Amino acid sequence: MNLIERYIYAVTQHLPSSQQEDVAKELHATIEDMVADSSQGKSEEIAITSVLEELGNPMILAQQYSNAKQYVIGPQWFGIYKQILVNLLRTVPFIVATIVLLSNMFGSKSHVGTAITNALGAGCGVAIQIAFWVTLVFFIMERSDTKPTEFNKSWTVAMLPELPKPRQISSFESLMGMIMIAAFGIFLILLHFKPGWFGTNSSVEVLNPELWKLWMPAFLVLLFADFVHHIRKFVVGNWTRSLVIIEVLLCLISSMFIVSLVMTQTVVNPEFVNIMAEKGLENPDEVVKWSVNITAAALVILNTWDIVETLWKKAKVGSIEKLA
Amino acid sequence: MSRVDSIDELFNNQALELRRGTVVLATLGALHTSQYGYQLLQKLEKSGLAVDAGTLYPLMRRLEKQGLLESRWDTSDSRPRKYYQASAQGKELYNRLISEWRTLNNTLEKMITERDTL
Repeated sequence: MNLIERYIYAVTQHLPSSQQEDVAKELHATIEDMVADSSQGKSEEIAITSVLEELGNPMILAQQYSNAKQYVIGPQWFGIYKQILVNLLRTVPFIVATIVLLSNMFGSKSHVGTAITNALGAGCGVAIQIAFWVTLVFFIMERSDTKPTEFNKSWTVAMLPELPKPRQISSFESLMGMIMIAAFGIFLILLHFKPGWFGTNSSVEVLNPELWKLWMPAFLVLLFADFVHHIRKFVVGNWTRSLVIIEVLLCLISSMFIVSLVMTQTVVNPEFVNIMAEKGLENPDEVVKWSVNITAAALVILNTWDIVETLWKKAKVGSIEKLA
Repeated sequence: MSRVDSIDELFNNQALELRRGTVVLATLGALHTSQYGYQLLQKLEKSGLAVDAGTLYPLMRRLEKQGLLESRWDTSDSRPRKYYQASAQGKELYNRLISEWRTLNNTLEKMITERDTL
């Protein structure tokens, strides 16, 4: 008998108290009827066991009885929920992380490692907060009487969204470009103003401070122009004539700039080279010369490739437009 | 990622879908006379429509809440039993469902024989 009581308790404990007694009484009678029917020749305990196992998992039986919603968010809200959550998650944490990273860079005397850790921590924290609060809001809406407005109105063709404008330049490509340029610019500025920040533990700059009299500011202006150009690429999205011309010009100018910089100026700080030599670097002048030359050559090759690729894409688009 | 169900599994799911509505129909029909749960369970099983106790009892309770069944406790026996009977509304719903069932059955029957004769 104890088994029956335990089974009934396992079912009714999940039910609202108003139903518990009634369900318990009915289940009791049913189980006893079933046991009486099936106990021929068997001991009572075996009969009870087989009847209860036939009735199955008490949790599932309780679910059948209960009318409460057994889910967090139902299908009518799920689409909107997912859309809002995805849109928030792929923007807000990155914005917060960037702000924290920048304020750490220029604010305190912290180290590059702690700045990145703080930024990542802030981004993850915000992401978890967003997920929790958005889910909670939709959990409550699911259990209120409100319905998504889309489901209230009868649908007409006029509600169809426009097709997205065709893009030749992906927004991802332009955005990545902007991020890379900004990061490179900030890196150069930090190398000059906060040399100890990258763990060298000294106030000796890697690049020649003399460059900041003319070459470095000029280069930053060039970077800024490139940044603006990427914003235009992001907004326009297609290879217009002016975008192609500016792209090619920017690549040519920066290539020439880099070549003349390397040929006429001492790029690496001589003091830094001395420190490296003291730390046991052999042939420091050779090493520095080759690393500078290889970097410059790589940049020039990248720029040339960019020109070729842009012109090729433009030519392809042009021929398609002519065909159409 | 996508999991291919075996044909048996697919059949079981679809057969369950097909049966789901018929249990309500059979219950409302059988409860034109007053019966307690276990009686109904056995009656359905004898007619060849075996239903899980775990499905039938919650279903009767739901139908009662919707006003389609009425219930009373009979404590005269050694085991107190809850007797259910279709209400006027329950009987009306039953009649309408029956005509719906017949229409569906005729339509499908016609489709199936047409296909067979092709």
